[in-house]
Amino acid sequence: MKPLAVLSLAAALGLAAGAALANVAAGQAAPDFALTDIQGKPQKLSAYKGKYVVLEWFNSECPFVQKHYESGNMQSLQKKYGDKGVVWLTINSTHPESSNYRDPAKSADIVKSWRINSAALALDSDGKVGQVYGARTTPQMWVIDPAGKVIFAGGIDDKPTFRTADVPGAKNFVAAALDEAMAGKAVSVPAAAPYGCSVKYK
Amino acid sequence: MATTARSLLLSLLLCAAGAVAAAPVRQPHSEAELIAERTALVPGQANAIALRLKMEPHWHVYWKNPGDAGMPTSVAWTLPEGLAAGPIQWPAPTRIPVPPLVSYGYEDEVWLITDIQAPTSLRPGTAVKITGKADWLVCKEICLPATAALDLMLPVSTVATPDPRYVDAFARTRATLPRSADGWSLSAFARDRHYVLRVEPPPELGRSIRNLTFFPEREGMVDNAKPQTYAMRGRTAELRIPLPGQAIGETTALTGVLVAQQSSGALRAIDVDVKLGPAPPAPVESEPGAPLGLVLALGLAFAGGLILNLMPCVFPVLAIKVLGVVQQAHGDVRKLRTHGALFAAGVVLSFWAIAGLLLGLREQGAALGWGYQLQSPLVVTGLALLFFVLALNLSGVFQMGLALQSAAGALKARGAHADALLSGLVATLVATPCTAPFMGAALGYALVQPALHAMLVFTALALGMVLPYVVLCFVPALVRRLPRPGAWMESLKQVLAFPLYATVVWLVWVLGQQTGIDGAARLLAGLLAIAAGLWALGRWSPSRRPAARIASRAAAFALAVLGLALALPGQSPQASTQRETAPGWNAWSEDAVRAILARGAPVFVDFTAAWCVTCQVNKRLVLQSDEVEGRFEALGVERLRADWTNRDPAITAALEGLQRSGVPVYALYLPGRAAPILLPEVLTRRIVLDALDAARPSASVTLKPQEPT
Repeated sequence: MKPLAVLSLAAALGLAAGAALANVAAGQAAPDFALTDIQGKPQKLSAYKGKYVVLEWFNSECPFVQKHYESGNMQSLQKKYGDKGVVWLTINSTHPESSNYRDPAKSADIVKSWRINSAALALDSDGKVGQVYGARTTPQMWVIDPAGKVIFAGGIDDKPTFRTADVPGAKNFVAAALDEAMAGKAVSVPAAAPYGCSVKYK
Repeated sequence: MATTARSLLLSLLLCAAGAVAAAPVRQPHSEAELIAERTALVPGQANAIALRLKMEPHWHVYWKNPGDAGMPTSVAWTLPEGLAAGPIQWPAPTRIPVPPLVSYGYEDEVWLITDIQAPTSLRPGTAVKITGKADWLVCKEICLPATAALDLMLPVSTVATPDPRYVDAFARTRATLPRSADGWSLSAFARDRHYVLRVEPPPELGRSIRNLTFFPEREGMVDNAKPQTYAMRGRTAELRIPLPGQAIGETTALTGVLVAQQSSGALRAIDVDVKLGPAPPAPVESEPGAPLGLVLALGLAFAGGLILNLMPCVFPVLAIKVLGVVQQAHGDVRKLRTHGALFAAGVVLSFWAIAGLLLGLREQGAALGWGYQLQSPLVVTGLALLFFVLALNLSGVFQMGLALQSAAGALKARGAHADALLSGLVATLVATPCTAPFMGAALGYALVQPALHAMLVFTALALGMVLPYVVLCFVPALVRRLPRPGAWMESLKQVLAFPLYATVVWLVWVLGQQTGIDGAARLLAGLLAIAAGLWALGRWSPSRRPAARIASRAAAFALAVLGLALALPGQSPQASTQRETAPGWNAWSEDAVRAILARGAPVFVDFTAAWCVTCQVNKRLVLQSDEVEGRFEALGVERLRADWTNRDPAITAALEGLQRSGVPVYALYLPGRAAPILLPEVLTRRIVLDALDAARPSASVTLKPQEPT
């Protein structure tokens, strides 16, 4: 029976190749993943059980991402919540064939020159983690509670533009979700429309 | 008089000056300019000002709801006191796929019109400067923000005439603006993780509408990327719009824009704001004829399952199971029955698994139809290997405890029950390549039905397939009539290997269509290595010397690994469009069909695939026969071929538009007719020639008055 089992497995794999984007929503368990960050360190979500985790989908060439870094908004959120013990993981799912791809060395330069304060920047070059979560845009955010449950998913704030001037007046959903959850309250906005550039999957 | 003359002169001067001020501002991959519809502002009246965005080919800008990604274009106006700018009048957008996402926007060029209202206090003879700061995002694979400060000087006058240079463009743009839904009958409800939007156009729009697309007003209302499908019930179209994986905000009404194609071929956009009502009870019962459709489908599937037993891929397997029964003929009747029942269960369960997987993937939005398995070179390769190994086994090259081969022995074996179930699974697995080509249309129909119906149809198919064997197991009288076991059984087994080899030949050809001659050669080389390995196994494995046994097994294993490594397809399949087309035939696209119809010529579309045997037979014996070719030429019918051998979402969407989900489909489009004429799956020359008679020049002349727009 062995060769048959192998073949039917191969057939099943072939069938699964056509699957579309998932959609990890608030209330669901955050799927585990293992990536290697640009420093070469493993980043496994389940290793951070017991802590709040923020996942930030990132592409340095996207004007919507640039808005949040040029204004200093993203760095200060990373610092503020990093100091409170939140693990902030920045993930870039850009495929190496895209002109927006930046290899680990270039990404390290960007982290330095942009003063990115997240715990780690990891390249998800085959897009697997992005597809498992259903990351559609950059920036798109997930907030995960210490039990490993998603408490927020979606766009970072309520101003879907790339204008730096729109940052100050915006309601930031990630900050609100973390503040409310840490205060033991229910998250008032658990979902927001993701906005930005499309994630550059293959 | 003097003032009029002066203002006229001023207008002329300003026209020249205005042309300079309104020069397009270039940004990377796009340019922008402001264009006034009328040459002057009239106190108390509005003038339409368009922001014209021109993009490089395939670059796009966004609608007011950009969909999965992007940002709507905006204009911040700076106007002299008293002037007021209205909102942007958004033309109907198009779906822009950026796999796996879909955005809503415009490619090539778009005119975004804003009405600027002039106050009555404006004094004729003066001039007014209108300034707009436009912000837009232009994307292809990557996105670039663009901004431009644009201005326009307009004279104030008592009369204003449309600028002749732009009359056409304004008219074209206004034709694409969504209109009020007055006269349309719209209703909506939610069912099965979809919104259902029922649309009945006003009578003056002709017989029917088609190619419906709903564009939601805001993000999070619908799943942008999953395909929307529609079905016609008389003049009423039922559009199914997938719900989002994560709803954002509460949706109590469907708000947005609906775009549909009228019978004239022109697109019509309407504003939609429909409250979600309660789902009507069981839509199937309310439609006369629908339950009959299900019963008929069940009957056909059952008959199809029966016939499947005679197909080259299934017949040998079933025949061998019957041989097992022959050897068992005078054995334990109860055991035989258990075995038959378990085998049936195995077949039914594995059909359910395949159907469930397919329905699940479709729910996920994958553009799949029946036969989809064979669109994957990996699956084709896997099946070729499977059939080849089974065939070698039947030829007697090697002996192995394969479930189907040991059917007789299995009855006595300890794992008899598991083995019976597994042999059912194997039977289904070997049956799949035969179901796709021969039953694609019927199963395709089943798949566009609700999930429960689809599962019932698959169940009927499975039951039909196992019926002969189960009857044999349960009626001992029949078993006793079978010939006595003997040497003839071994001969029959070896003969039965040949249909399996034939199936391998066909699968190699399919793979060749998908990955080219190199891919096919690699598979053949892989088969060769596997044959050598299995031969070594068969030759020395029964040997009494342990060294020979071990060596043969090692050699067989190494050769099998080598064979697999050679055979497994590495590169991605070629795009369907790269394949050569037969002379007289062109590659299909939705645009090509539209363009040819606009010229007033009929179009015949052959939706086909290399792995679809019916399609190939129809193509060789009917479509490319001299008689039919000659008639195509004589009547000036353009021929397009939509090749679905590999996955192609555009073709899948077109098939869904035709209410089909598998190939073959033959569609004859006539100019001025809303729906194409669909021909049966199995063609004869007579059928095609009769259908072509409808496209005769005399017929198209009577249709001529309705000029395509």
